[in-house]
Amino acid sequence: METIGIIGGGSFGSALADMVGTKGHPVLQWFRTAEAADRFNATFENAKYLPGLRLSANITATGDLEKVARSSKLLIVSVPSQHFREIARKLGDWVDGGQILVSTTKGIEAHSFKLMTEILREETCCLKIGAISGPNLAKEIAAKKPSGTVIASRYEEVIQKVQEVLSGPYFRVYSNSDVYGVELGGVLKNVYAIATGLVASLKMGDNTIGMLITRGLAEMSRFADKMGSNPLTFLGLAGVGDLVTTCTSPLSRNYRVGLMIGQGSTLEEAVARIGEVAEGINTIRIVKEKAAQLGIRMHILEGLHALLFEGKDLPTVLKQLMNVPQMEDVEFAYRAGQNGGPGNSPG
Amino acid sequence: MPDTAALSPSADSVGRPANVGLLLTREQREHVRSEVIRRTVEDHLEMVRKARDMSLEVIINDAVYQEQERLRNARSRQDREEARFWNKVGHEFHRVSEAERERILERIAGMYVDEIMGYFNPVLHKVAAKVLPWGLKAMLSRFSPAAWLKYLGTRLNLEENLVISGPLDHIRELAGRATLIMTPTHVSNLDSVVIGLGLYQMRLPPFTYGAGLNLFGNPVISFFLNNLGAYKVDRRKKNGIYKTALKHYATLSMEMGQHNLFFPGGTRSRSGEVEQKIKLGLLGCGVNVYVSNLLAGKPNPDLFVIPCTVSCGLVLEARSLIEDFLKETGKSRFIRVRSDFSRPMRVLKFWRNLQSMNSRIQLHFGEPLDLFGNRVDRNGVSRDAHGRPVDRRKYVENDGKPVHYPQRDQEYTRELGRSILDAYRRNNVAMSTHTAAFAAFNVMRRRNPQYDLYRVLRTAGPDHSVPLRDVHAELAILLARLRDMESKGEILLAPEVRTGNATDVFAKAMEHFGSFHDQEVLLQGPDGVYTNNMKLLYYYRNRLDHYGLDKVLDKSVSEDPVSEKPQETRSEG
Repeated sequence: METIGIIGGGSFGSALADMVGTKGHPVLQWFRTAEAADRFNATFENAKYLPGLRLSANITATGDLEKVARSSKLLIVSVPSQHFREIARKLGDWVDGGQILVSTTKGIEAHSFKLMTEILREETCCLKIGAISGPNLAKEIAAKKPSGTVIASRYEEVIQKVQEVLSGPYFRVYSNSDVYGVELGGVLKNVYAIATGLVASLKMGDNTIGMLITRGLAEMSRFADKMGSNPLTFLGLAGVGDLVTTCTSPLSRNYRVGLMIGQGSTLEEAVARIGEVAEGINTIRIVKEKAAQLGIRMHILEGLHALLFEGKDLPTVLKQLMNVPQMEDVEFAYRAGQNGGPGNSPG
Repeated sequence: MPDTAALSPSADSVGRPANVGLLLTREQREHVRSEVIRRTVEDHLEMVRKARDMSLEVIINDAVYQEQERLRNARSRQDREEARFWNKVGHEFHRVSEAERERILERIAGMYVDEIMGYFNPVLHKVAAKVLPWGLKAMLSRFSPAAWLKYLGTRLNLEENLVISGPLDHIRELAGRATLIMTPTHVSNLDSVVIGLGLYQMRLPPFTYGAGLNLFGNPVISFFLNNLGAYKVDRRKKNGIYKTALKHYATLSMEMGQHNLFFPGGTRSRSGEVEQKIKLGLLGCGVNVYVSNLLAGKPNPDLFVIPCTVSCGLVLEARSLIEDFLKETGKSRFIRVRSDFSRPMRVLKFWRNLQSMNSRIQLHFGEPLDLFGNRVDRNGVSRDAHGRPVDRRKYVENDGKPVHYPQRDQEYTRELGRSILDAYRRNNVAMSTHTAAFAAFNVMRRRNPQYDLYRVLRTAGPDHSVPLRDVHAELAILLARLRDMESKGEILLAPEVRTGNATDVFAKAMEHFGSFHDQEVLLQGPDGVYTNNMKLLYYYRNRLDHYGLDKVLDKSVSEDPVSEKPQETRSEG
């Protein structure tokens, strides 16, 4: 079986490496330091991110990025968004146009508003690029609990390859050609996870959480639609699937940040206590600016921005949110109906 | 003379590039004809094999229906002949066997390929390119003896008014080692003639190209097109058989190493803006040909793309184009019966302007690209965004062997399309007419913020004058921004726009507009600047659309209202 290259020694990179290795593929996995790679090779355990789990013996860790870049037709890039461009640029020195690059990183570059596949496109000569996104908590995947994901690419070859390599008895891989929409889903849901954590901490009730998640989904798809994506992408695993998981799981860092703030912590305290990156905090700032530029209504996101960065208190923000104009519930279906589409059909 | 031997139709026709022209021997033409027919028929048979609900009967039925609709009011002899052909096919094809239908399909494809194939005469190409202005002069004089007399003894000096820029040596070098695909923006019907002349002047080899059938209606233009390597494209024909035959003709000519030119926008820009979308159909033939060349083991298998931006200070058909655009908005198609292009006196006036330096056309050839959107250096090496070499064969290989993969190749072509659009945007040349129109339109639009675009376009005349100082101030901000953009490689500027101050640029634009669009685009009255034709002003202004310039200007004004700072107009420059 062919070797698969995985770039990144974090929790998700290791969960994927284990999944691929378990299927019998030799896996070459890049860790940031040779020491971390050596530690893994000695124990087959990623003690920092997936402690206590012995991973597949088919995984070989290395600190040599070039070796991984040249090892495989399929390279899965799973590094934090803040280092993504730097690592992609290095990869660009060694990859060729025949290789497939797939990002699993859910993030957005602040200054450019670029998503990770766009960075791969800019920094390498590769064109066969894709993104994986979905309700994929690394700890659950590593524990082999059934779950699914989406591989998004414009290239059939990429979709087929990733499905062949990743799908298995406890992991399903669905396809989508709307790469931007799938990636955006993975980015935006973090914002609403913070909001849900906040509401959950205030014990407002399940109705409130249901409304929050659904209206969050409406904002996400509205934003994606303006950015040229298909809003229906948000009905899939990378949209509602990921959103529901992130907004309800105590494993989600963003949800926990919201929870702590609701319980009285300051933003700084909450971030310090989590100890890891809560992408949603940066996303609020970046997306708020973009939405303002494009004139997109995103009341929940704006409310969070007011609360976290503009010094407004929670009761004021909640009051404002409950007083925004009430629009149609499912706006894209409504629009389709106006055009004589299915949304207008009786029954 | 072109190396005709290199055009041998056999599969090992591999010599080619440098001196390959467009001349085909009778045998080669016959080969091209039969090969286009064979491939067209084969494609449709394959389609029938793959799709359960598809049959030759359905395919021919569709063509018959569409062609009969098109020819419903046939007037010309040619159209009547075509109508007879389709009526005959229409009567026959339902009753015959599938094998017979295959032969009918061959006949249809044969008729189309005969129409499409141009004839190229290299001697005539040389002569035509040299005497082109005289040829046009002759064309004009056909319609206007007075004009002919006026022109007698006047030498049209197109060299001064046709500015050609870009990495020409680089392109010449690549022409010797690869097949080139020239992809220009499309402003006017004169583009193909002007580009043909530009290529000749720059000692670039001839390109074959698909020119709209309507251009062949003019006997003089037709004479030149036929002999400058053009083949015929009839955009009214929408049926699958025609499109397939056209695609195979272009593919075959690329396989034979002929440099190709086509306008990927598909048609002239109606709004005046630089192309924002391009059609990928013909462009998509490139990867297919590249893979075939690799599989055939040709020593020069590469195809490179040269994006070319055509920028015109004045546009012959501006008035009819913008009217088409406004009528087309929201509708699928609107074909004007009579455009400025068909009015001899307008053509004459335009050409006179060009001659007297009142107008200028700039052809900017962009950096060559490979079929995957990467830049290609002088040595034919593809480079990524950071200048690192790229092995382009890898894109089409699977397990070390080149393979055809239509879905993949379609995506590659989309990537290439993006790079071409990016080049168009960066190599668009902003001229005085565009900048002055942009500034004036903005000031006029801002005066009535409650109006939507269509209402703004209906405002005209001295009653809607705006202060000259406001327009100057707006233009000063615009020029500063454009110069900044040019320094970052985001646009190109004509010399007067690069160095002139707002007052001079505006005066120059007024002069240019006045020389061609009498009393229409920009005028000055006692109450300031006004227009008698807002649509034309909008047309010229649109050349600078999509650069985010309105936002920059609106922001500058809201921060620092121009009406309160008239003195800025003097200090600019």
